[in-house]
Formats: sequence, structure tokens, C-alpha cells
Amino acid sequence: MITEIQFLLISLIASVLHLDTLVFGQFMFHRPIIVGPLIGILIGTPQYGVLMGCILELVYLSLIPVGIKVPPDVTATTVCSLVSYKLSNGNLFFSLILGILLGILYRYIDLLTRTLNSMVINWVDNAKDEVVTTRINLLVVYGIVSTYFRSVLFYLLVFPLLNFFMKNIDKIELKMLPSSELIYILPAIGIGISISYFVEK
Amino acid sequence: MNIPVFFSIFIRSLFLQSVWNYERMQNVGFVFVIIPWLKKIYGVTQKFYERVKTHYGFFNTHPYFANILIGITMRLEEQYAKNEISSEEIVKTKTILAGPIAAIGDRLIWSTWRMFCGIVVVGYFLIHGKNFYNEANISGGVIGYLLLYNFIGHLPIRFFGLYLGYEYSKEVIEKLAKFALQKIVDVIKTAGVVILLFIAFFYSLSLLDNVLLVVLFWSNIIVSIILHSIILHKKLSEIYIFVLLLCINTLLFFIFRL
Repeated sequence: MITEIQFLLISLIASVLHLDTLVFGQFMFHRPIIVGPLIGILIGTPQYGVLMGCILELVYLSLIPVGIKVPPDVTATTVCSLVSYKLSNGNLFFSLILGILLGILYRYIDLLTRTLNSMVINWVDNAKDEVVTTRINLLVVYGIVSTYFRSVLFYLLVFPLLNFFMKNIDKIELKMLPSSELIYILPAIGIGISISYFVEK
Repeated sequence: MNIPVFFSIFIRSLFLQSVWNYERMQNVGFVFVIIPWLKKIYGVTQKFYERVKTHYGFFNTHPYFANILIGITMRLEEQYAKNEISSEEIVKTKTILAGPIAAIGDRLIWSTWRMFCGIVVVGYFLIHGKNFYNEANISGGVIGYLLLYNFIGHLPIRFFGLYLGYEYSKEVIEKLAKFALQKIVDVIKTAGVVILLFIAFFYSLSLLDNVLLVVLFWSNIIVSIILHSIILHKKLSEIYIFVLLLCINTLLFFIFRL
């Protein structure tokens, strides 16, 4: 069970972490290994957070943003997987699949924002000399604010849907799917991918 | 160099990608970073606005290593103000160096250092065995990861990149080339593989109370290595492997009621 206040808090805090992906710093606050435990604390189970963080960190380690290539959003994947995991009372399979799909959806929203930015930057080209620096400063503020509120909006729209989905799917015997022992195996996939990546590149 | 201006540029460089766009990529961020330097050289004059608009063109490189190029541009702007070089030379230098610097950054940071730090912290958690999420010190692992990544790799590259770019100008690229970066990458990657095997071995020991789990664990490692080697040449995402193996494992657990 996650309360409305918790949903709101997760949206606000996860959106700050989203800023680290591109618009500010890249200190790696947006990585699953940081996002997982942090959101885990907010929903009252930091252990789930570490679990999800470790599994997703290993899988997403080798996805890198080179040039114009934008990989699926790892922060949105972690947050949505974790929230689904809690809502489904620990169904790992559904939470990971939903998280990955929503991470891919977030990527398309990100691409759309980058396309919109191409139009916004012309604002400086048309500016008179006296206002050029002001407009550049405002554009930087716009970049931060638009990214933040884009993420908040995304989560505020997605969380009620996840809540509805998980409540209803629980009625059709979601519990039939295994969970407990599967957890122990999943880190192996990320370990294998990382070994292969390091050996081949 | 003027220390307050240097720090202002360093802090502003954290916003380099704030308005990343498909047309001119990091152009807004680049101009935002370099404004204090242009103001210092030209004051708020017609020349200052001219230079701001010149730098508003296309710019794209690795966000950490960009500071080297920002430092080089600062030095070149000084020379331009003294009429020692032309404006075209500054633009040309930025364009020519952005590609190689991005390649170094992508290889050294995104595909080596970030991966290595990720492996170290995940290793720290997994080494606690199958119930690692209950037993490991969570805050210690998370803070350790951030300190390792940022204070050994990220921030020194940004800080010294800016300083060295300004101090040595274009020569800094030659100095970087002599730095044997490929050897560093190879050493980190070898260490990464050793750590991963070490993690896998000790983690699987904690699964020994159910031998089938140990077999499944190692089978998953081997299958994901094979699948990754195959998709690497097809340029597919690693997520496909994860989803595929997640489905297969769920099915196996369901059938055998594990």
C-alpha cells in the first residue's frame, strides 16, 4: 500500500534525480543503485530498493548515451519497477516488465523535449544585443524547470494507472507467478552482460 | 587566471547540457559557461555580444571532458582579443577537437569508469549473499559509490580539464595522447571482469542450500554472455536479453514450482 502523499513525494523527489541525467551535473544520482534505495526509503522498504537497484544497475550498466543516441530512461524504470513491486506485494516479474516499458515511454518524452528545445533556442538568435545574456540565462532556467515538471507530470499520470492496474491484476491470481526464489537468480543476467561487454569491447 | 571567474566557469559547466537540442546540441550550455570569461576580456561591449553570438553555433562533446575544450577556448579568446588569431580559428579548433575529446570521454567514462564504479558497489551488496538486501549497509554502499565515482573520476576531470585546457591550450591534446589512456581503460576493464567473477562465485556460494538455484544462476550468466555476444553485432539493446531471460526464468520457476 502506498498513500497519495507518498506518491506525491516520490514524484517530487524522483524528478530532482531526473535532472542529474542530463541537465545538471551527471553526478550519477540518477542511477538505479542510488534511486532504488532512496525511493525504497520513501515507500518504507529500503531493502526492496537495494534489490531492484542492484538488478537494474547491472542490466543498464552498458547502455551509454553516445552522441544523439538516448538509451531508455533508467531512473523512470527503477522508480516504476519499485512502485509496482510494492503495489503488487512483491511480484518481481510484472514490476520489472512494467518498469522497463515505462522507462522506454519516458525516453520518447525525453526525445520530444529535445526536439522542442531546437525551436526554443532560436529565441536568442532573434534577440537584441542587450537582452542576449538574459535570454541565455532564462533558457538554462527553462531547461531545468521544464525537465523537472515534465518528470513530475509523468509520475503523477503514471502512478494512478499503476495503482489501478496492480489492484485489478491481483484479482486474477497474480500470486500464481513465482517471486521469492527468482530474486536470487536475476543478478546473474546483469553479471553475464557486463562480463561480455568488458571482454568484447 | 582570475580565481573567482575560474570557479564561476567551473560551476556553470555543470549546466552544459541544460538545453540539449538536436539542432545545435550543447550550444546554449557552452555560451552560458563561457559568458563570465568573455565579460572579463571584453567587458559589456559590442565585441562581447559579437563573441557570444559566434559561440552560439553547434557544439557537442563529452560533458566532463568539455571543460578541456572550454579551457582551450578561453586561452584562444585571449589571443583573439590581442589580434593574434582569427575568429575562424577558434571556431575551427572547437569543431576539430570536439569529436576526439568526446570519443575519449565516452570510452574512458561512460563505458569504463561508470561501469567499474557500478560493479564495485553492486559487488559490495551482492557479496553479502542471497539476502544482501537485508544484510548490507545500504547508506555505506550508496555514499561510497558517489564518493568513488565523483571524487576520483568525475570532478577532477572537470576541474583539471578546465585548468589544463587553459594552461596548455591545444597542446593538452598531445599530452592526453601520451597519457596511455588505452592502458588505463584496459586495466580497469580487466579489474572489472575479475570483480564480476569474484562476485558471481561468492554470491553463488550463498545459494548452495538449493543446488538447482546454483545451476540456474551460472546457466543465466553463460546464456547472457552468449546472447550478448550475438546481439552486439546486431546493435540490439541489452534490455532484450534481460526481458527474454526474465520470461524464461519465470516460466521455469512456474513449471517446476521452485
